[in-house]
Amino acid sequence: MLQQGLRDQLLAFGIDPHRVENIEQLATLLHPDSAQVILLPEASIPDYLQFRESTPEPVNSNPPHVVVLLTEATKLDQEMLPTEVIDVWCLPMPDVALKLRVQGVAEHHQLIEAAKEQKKNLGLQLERSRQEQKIVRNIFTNAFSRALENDPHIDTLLLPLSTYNGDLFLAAKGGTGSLYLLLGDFTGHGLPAAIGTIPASQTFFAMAERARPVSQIAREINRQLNLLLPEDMFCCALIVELSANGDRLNWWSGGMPPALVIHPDGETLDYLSPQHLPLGILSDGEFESGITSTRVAINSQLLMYTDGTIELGTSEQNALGVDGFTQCCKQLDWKMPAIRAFIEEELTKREAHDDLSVVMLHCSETGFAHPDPGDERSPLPFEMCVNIGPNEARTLDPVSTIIRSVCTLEGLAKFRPSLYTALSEAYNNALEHGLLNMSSAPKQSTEGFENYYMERSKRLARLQRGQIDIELRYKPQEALIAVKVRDSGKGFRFDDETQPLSQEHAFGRGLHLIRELTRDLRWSENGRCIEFNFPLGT
Amino acid sequence: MNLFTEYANDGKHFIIHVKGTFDFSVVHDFRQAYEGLSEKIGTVIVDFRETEYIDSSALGMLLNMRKSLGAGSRTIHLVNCRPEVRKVLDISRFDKLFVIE
Repeated sequence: MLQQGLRDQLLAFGIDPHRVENIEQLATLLHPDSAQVILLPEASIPDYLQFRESTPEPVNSNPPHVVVLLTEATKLDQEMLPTEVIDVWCLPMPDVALKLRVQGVAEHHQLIEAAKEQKKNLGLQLERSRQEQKIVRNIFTNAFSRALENDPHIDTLLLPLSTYNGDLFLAAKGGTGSLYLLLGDFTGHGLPAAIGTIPASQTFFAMAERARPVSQIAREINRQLNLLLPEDMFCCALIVELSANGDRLNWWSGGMPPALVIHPDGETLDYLSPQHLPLGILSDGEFESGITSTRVAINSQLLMYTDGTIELGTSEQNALGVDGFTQCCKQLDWKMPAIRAFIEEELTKREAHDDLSVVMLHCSETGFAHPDPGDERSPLPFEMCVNIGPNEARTLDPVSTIIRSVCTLEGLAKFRPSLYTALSEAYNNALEHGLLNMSSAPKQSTEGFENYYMERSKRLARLQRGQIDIELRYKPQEALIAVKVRDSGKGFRFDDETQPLSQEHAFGRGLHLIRELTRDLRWSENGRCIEFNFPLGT
Repeated sequence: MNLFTEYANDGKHFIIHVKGTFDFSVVHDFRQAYEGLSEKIGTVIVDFRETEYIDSSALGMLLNMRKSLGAGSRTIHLVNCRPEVRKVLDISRFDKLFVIE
């Protein structure tokens, strides 16, 4: 009856206890999926101990709780008892005592269960977090995959405090052969600080590729970070463009410690001191995008670094500081391997509190050749005839349209600018002198120049008659495009077929350009037609 | 707008960018850009980084600018030219009148 009462009491706490009747039961009862509270009668103790000895660790990560029931004062050594025994009850005991003991076991059981559940959840959480970290790391890797790597102009020391770097260093080739750099430092460190590096880097790469000015890159990154980051987060940044020939730095600095330009003599220093607030603070309307353009001697070096570097040792009241850092670098002859070794040595003595970055840029010709769109020219000859009447001349931009379509052909893209110039000169000459009957004389004065073009658009607006025919013949065998531009105007008289003096005067600089950019220039049809060959040599 | 201007070096430099085609279509805007420029600006820079095409009218505009800004008293730099643009400037010997970088 007492046993029955015990079971009921445990059931009342939501626990279904199992009473061990014989040794065979034990194996199943100790199975992790089976009962959680086992009542072990005194008589079964030897069996239980024997069983535990033969299977020393049957209880896995999910052990049952064993309560030993005694009916007489047996000599029971605590050391004999396996760890899963959580209580020993001497029965009978007063109801009130038993009730409290049962309650104790129940609470213990519930705590353990709760802990188990938490552990399971934590495990899941950890796994999920690992997965997420993996994905995030992947995103960061992809975000920076466009970065220029192993460029001989750049030497870096980038030491994040954790996996994610709140310092940001980016380098990219500019579309016009210049080299763009961005060294940034987001508020804080770790993942929250690193998040802002993604939009900043994407903007940087996209704009550098299109060779956008530094001022505009700064403005655009500021605009994005201002929208994206919470009020108290921002990004100190130095954005630099090294010109293709390596002797000019265009830079914008907001909140960064002063970078140093070190003259090749190693003595003369120039500081790129921050002139603006960091990125992400001001709205687009308030933002100041003013850059500074600094001439540098070839083989100068630019030393850029983030706060983390000069704040080394702050907690020991012994921060390196700008001067300390500069002095050390100077003693090390501004050599990056030595500076790197110095910082690493410092880190063993002083504690780092922030991400730390040091970047050295060697100022010399970037050597980034202009992207070659490929030399393979289409072997297929073609001809193109375009007839331009007053309407087309008024509303369209025929030269751009023609150049666009011709230069979609394989291997012709790189000739686009020069072909444009030559064709544009010939077309404008035909239009302005052939169809609009304009005289170039007024163009010589400053006021006349602008008036000339005002007159041009007036006459063009009124133009009723006339036509300009443009013919292009692409001759891959001869590596040239033969160009003919003919107008329906009244032409002009000339004495020498190759030197139509009056035309030369009117045409001036434009004709000179055509002559230099093309071959076999000739006039025909009383000066109404100009022909030339545009060479497609490399 | 194919033209955009900015000041640099604490307002001592003035930079003009021409995007796309630099020809007579910007003649008015180009003149307006440098008209009434403050005396304290000693350096004017025409940045060709985003200039794709150029023709003789652009050359005329540059010469007018030089005249208007007082030839010789201010330095005018033509910077970031693509090789083809550079070729056009070289043909006209602009290196004698401007600092071409």
